[in-house]
Amino acid sequence: MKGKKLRDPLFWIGVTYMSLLLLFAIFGPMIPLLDAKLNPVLDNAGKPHLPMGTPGALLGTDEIGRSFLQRLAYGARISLFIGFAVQTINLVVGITVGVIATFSKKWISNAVMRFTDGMFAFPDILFAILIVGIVGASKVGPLAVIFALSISGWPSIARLTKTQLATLKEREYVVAARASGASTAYLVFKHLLPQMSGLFLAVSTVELAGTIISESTLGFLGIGVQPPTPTWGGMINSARVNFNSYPVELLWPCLILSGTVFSLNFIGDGLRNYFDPKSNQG
Amino acid sequence: MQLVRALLSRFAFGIASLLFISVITFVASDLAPGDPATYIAGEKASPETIQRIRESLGLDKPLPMRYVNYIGGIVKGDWGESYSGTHEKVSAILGRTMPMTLRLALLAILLASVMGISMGTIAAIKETKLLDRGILSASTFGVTLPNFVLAPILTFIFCIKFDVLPTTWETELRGPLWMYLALPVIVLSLRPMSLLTRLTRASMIETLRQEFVRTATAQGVPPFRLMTKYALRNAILPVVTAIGTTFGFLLTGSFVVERYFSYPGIGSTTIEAILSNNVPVIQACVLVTGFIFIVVNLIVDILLPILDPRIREGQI
Repeated sequence: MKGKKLRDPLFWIGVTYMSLLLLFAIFGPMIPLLDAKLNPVLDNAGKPHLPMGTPGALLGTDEIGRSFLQRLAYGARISLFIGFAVQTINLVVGITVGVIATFSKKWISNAVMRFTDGMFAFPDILFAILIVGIVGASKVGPLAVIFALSISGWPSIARLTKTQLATLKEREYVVAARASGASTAYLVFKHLLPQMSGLFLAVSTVELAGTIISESTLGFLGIGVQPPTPTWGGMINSARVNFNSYPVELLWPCLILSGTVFSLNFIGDGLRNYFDPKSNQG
Repeated sequence: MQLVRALLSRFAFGIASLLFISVITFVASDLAPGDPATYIAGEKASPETIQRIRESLGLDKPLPMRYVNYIGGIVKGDWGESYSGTHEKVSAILGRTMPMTLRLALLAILLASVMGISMGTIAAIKETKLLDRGILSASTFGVTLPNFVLAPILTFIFCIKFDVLPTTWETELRGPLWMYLALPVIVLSLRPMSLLTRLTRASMIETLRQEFVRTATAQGVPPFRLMTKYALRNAILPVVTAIGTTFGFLLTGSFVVERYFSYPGIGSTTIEAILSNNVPVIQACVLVTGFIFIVVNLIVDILLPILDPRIREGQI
């Protein structure tokens, strides 16, 4: 692996886009000029459906006069925050379950894996919809969405951990370490998990794209993070209503969301080819 | 004999999954705020009345017993009543909406399978050529593009720019049915179509490298017959399995598509139920969606041995 470089241009396009998006999410809402509502001094503050290029609202305003650019930035915060939180939970829970399934007694391992298979077998967003339905759509905030999306997210990581550990733990250096008296915990944290970190990074990046789509889907259906908090999915849904008169308003949230999803997939593919070139066959 | 055992254990896993999802929906609904007895009696009812209704509904019994009653009711076709104004029976709502969703999903999976398998095969035959690159990039695009982004694009082209298709479903259809189904089916099928294309391509490339294909070529089997009868027949097995799993994407995708096109199926019913906190309907819709998904995958797994003599003979 030494001396190998990431030459894939798509990977670097993805990295550039995501870096810009991150900066936009952090600093976008802070640029005071962008918010037509917070700046009553501006002539156009609060006017609905302003066109692109209006000072103070570069991408125009929505149906109640809020700046698109600023709402996109807030939406980026929500999407990235939920995405990263869900992926962190998935990794922690998934790896823990995978390690337990690999190193515990056979009946525990079997029970854990059957449960994981069962959870894995269901369409991802179904659980989220059930949870939102039970919580009540009007009370849904970022935390409820994170909970709803992580419930169905961890099984794939758990299965990946299990299959990876199964081959890794037979490797000679692991067997040697065990023979010289290393404990299971030491093996897992010192030898096995670091070995798998690259693969986890690649898989989580691709799954992050999936989480962001799911979050936007919930927002689009009106059962995600509730308005007035801006979400890309929610913006797509409200722009849809005004689509016949203002088709361009639908463009921004769709563009930024698609760009994010494509970039994350490019990065994930690049990372996977880098860490695990064999997986690229076919 | 081995096959029978494998099928039986697969069947048992299917039944276990069905029970699993029924327990989850039941417990989740039980945790939901709001008490069915209060709903039925009305807000102003006396505590005694509510208590009487609770007893008549069996709500005072412990959770496991209520679960057994609930499953018993479902088996007999008694799914409870909707909380909303008309108190329509949930079974009637399902009977009305489920065929609509199944029609949409089956048409979409049909389109996705036919297009996906043929494009994947063509790409594999033309491996690394321009046509292959084109199909591969298009399918990468199709896998990642969210369907609520595709839907407005297509609506813009076909409904606004050229004005040939209707934008949404209407209670009184003002044209042939296919016009109303075309866009929802296409949007819904994009993701499974792209997945199946990629999978068929990968599987075909692998198969075309095997020796029996070379032998058949050397023996002078005509190209078309070689591709369909020899190669595709072998390459299609993982694709069939995938058709089952992509059906799950279809069912969840139908939430978005039905909502977008105001299509009166189970997806839009679920979302409306969630927005109005209609717990019995949510519970039933999630349960039915999960059921359909499990049953489809069970059917696929039973179909595999029929398609592949090697599985039938217990060789793999």
